[in-house]
Amino acid sequence: MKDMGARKLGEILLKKDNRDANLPKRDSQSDNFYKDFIRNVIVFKESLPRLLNEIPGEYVAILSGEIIDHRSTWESVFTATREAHPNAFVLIERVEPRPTEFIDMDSLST
Amino acid sequence: MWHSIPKGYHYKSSASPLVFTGIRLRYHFKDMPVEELNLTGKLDTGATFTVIPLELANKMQLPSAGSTGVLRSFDTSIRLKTYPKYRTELFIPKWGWQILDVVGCERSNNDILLGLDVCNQMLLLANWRSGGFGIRPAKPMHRILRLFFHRFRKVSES
Repeated sequence: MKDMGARKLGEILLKKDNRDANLPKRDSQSDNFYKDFIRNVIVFKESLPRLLNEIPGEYVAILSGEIIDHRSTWESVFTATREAHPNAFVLIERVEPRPTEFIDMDSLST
Repeated sequence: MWHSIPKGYHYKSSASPLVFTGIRLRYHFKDMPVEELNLTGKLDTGATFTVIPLELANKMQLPSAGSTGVLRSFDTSIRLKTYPKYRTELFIPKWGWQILDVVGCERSNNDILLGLDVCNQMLLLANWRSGGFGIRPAKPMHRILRLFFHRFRKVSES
């Protein structure tokens, strides 16, 4: 049930992204990267309330939709995950409350 | 350091005229640097974050520093895109290295967009008439410039 919700949210986010005609066209490699990245972000956001209770302030590593490691410093998480998965992009996020923030950008793509 | 503004950039609506060359990007893994040389950067004083091409981030296998929150574009429309952030060290010639979390995004030009996070303590001086610009630490120049613009205002008002 939880997986279905995450998948739906992922589909909505990807649809919204594809609507933006101003962005340069992605090749299949970066498209796959972005899909995987969004999946990891969704897993982190869904797990955040639980993680805030269990390991607040720590850094978590997420790969292919699974939390694979957590440690107290960013450096230690990065070193451990790069050694274990040298060719994969592992999302590293800090377990902290995330208020909605607005960041001004002109255009990221040009 | 004084940089020249490339001729012709003024008339391209989408391009920033303040272009840096010789930018380097790197990170360390087990004390070994992984580095990319000779990159080009455009200064964007309206951007909160520095943005690098996603292709470059993937090629260098830059380490993750999380993801962005909600980004708002210049026309205040809210875009719900989420972008990856990377922990890097950025080198600007005659300015030095600085540790920085940057945003990764597909970019039509394969250059770096330098945001306010790299220059928020700096003074930017641009002379479009002579075609040059420079950046220096802002603090030592603060009082002199206040005086300069204060006097300038008095002359213009009289």
